[in-house]
Amino acid sequence: MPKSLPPDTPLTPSLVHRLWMAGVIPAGKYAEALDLARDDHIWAMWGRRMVLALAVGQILTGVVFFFAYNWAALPGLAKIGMVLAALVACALASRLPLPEVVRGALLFAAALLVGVVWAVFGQHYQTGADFWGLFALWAALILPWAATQKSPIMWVLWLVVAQTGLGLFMATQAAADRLPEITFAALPALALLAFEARTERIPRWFGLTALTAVLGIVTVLSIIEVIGDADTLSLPWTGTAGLLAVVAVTVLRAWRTRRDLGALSLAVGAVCMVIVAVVIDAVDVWMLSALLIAGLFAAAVSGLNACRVRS
Amino acid sequence: MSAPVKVLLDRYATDAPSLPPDTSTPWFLIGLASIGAILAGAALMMALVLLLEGADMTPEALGMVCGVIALGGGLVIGLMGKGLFLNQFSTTGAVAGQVLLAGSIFEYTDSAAAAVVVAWAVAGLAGTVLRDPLQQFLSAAVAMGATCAWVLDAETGVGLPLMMVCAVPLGLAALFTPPRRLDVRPAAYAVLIVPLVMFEPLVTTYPLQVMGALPYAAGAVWVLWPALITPARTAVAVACAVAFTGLAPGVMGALLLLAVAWRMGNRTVAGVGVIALLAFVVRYYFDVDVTLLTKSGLLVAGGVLTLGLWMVWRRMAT
Repeated sequence: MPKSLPPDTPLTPSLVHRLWMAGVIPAGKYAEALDLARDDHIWAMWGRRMVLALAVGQILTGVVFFFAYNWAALPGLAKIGMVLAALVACALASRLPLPEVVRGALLFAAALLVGVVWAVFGQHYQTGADFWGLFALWAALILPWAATQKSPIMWVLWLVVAQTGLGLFMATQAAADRLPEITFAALPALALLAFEARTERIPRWFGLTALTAVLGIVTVLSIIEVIGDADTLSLPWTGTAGLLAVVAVTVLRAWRTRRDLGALSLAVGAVCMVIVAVVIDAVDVWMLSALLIAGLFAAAVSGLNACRVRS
Repeated sequence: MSAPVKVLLDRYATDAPSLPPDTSTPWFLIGLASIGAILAGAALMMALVLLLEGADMTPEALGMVCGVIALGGGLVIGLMGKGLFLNQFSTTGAVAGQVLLAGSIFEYTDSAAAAVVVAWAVAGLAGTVLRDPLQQFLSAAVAMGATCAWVLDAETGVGLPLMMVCAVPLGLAALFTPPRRLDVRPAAYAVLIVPLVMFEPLVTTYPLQVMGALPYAAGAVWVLWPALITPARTAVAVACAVAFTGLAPGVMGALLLLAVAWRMGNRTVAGVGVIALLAFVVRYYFDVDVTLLTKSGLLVAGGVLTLGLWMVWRRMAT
């Protein structure tokens, strides 16, 4: 038996491959050994969820296409009534004693249909309302569902809708000129704070997605402030301050918990991107820029790898 | 030692040598190192181009010189360097060198075959020397892409589907009966994925699309074989394979990737499979030449059928 196998080593496909390379598994038995290492229960559950998501996605897209066709023979009120009926049916069905995943899918469908109702309403009555208002109303109406359902997918939908509304408002409305650009990072930052407060109850992917969104926004703002014209922004240096704050919190958290190096890598990567922008902007010699960038990333990756080994 | 490992070793093991080290690295570190390597490599390439600008060279010669320097630099750094960043830096150099060399050879000789030979030679050399999974995947993907482009350029029509008839069994064989000396799984994934990405958009004749999808359909049934232990399941799988091959050939390739991901227990390939599946399903509905109303009916019908499949699967599981 292999002597270097540590106790309690889990049987994974990667270990099977290492055992194969070491000659432990006989020729022709590689696929059979992989079958032993796989957790079929988890794969089947994942597969069923994917199939359900594909089914719900197709049906909802079909509904959207139906109303996008703008069937002239169908009266406007009938169209709105049909979507409303589908919405109510989905919402009520989500209260039935069905499996959790089905109820979640039904409520998600209902939340999407709220947007379709407004689109059909606008199509029929030509209200002339701004798009941002449609998204804001949509976000406001599905907020109670997101709050009560406690489903990360539902919260992602709410964040996407609300963020789109906010983005459209900031891009098109004169009243938004007084809002600092950093406002655009507010909703993802709130989501990140919620994740930090309930780390054990909210999945890690949700936290990483929120962190990526926050870092993306503050990094772009910081680059504009550092190498562009900071005075063009309503509230200068908020991007850089936000970036430093997020990085500080992430580093502190990684240092205290000795885990979640994925989040730390994202934060370090964001800082590296700002420094790269400064290097490219300030250094005229490409060879020197290359060396500085290589040194920066080599140091960052080595540091993170050392943290990983230590933790 | 955990119980599952003991079961496995009891079943197969005799006296075995100690294990090769576990060289797996988290994806986020590889990602960060790759971004840094690409940025630094791009700046270095810019410096090199500016340096050679005054040497009065044709663009092809400039490309070849840059390619040789990038490839050579990548190989040397890979041989000398220890560390994650240097590994990714050497990978960037090797792949950039491969692209530049193959591209310049094509421009210089006007021969796609020569470019393909160079691309495969560089992929083989770099793969053997560097032994880095990402480098192996990227180099094999570049070489496979060049081969597909060559076959398409020859305008034989049947060429690319025929190539897939060869590529799918080759890729599956490399995955499920891998050599012990060199881990060729990344190259095998490239051999399976690249023709799939290229064939449906580029092979526009319907019978040829079906011909290209057939090896993927057969491969998916073969990979899923351990799960298809009853005649009913086998019949359903074969019916699905036939239906998808006829309706949306690319979907069959995505399903093969998902089947491979399940059999190999590889979540990354599962992610690629999901993206491919979504892309081919969207492409199918986008390309169907009907009104939005009919498309809506098709989508709802497809959704209901998929929902039925989900219900059957769920019932089987409980």
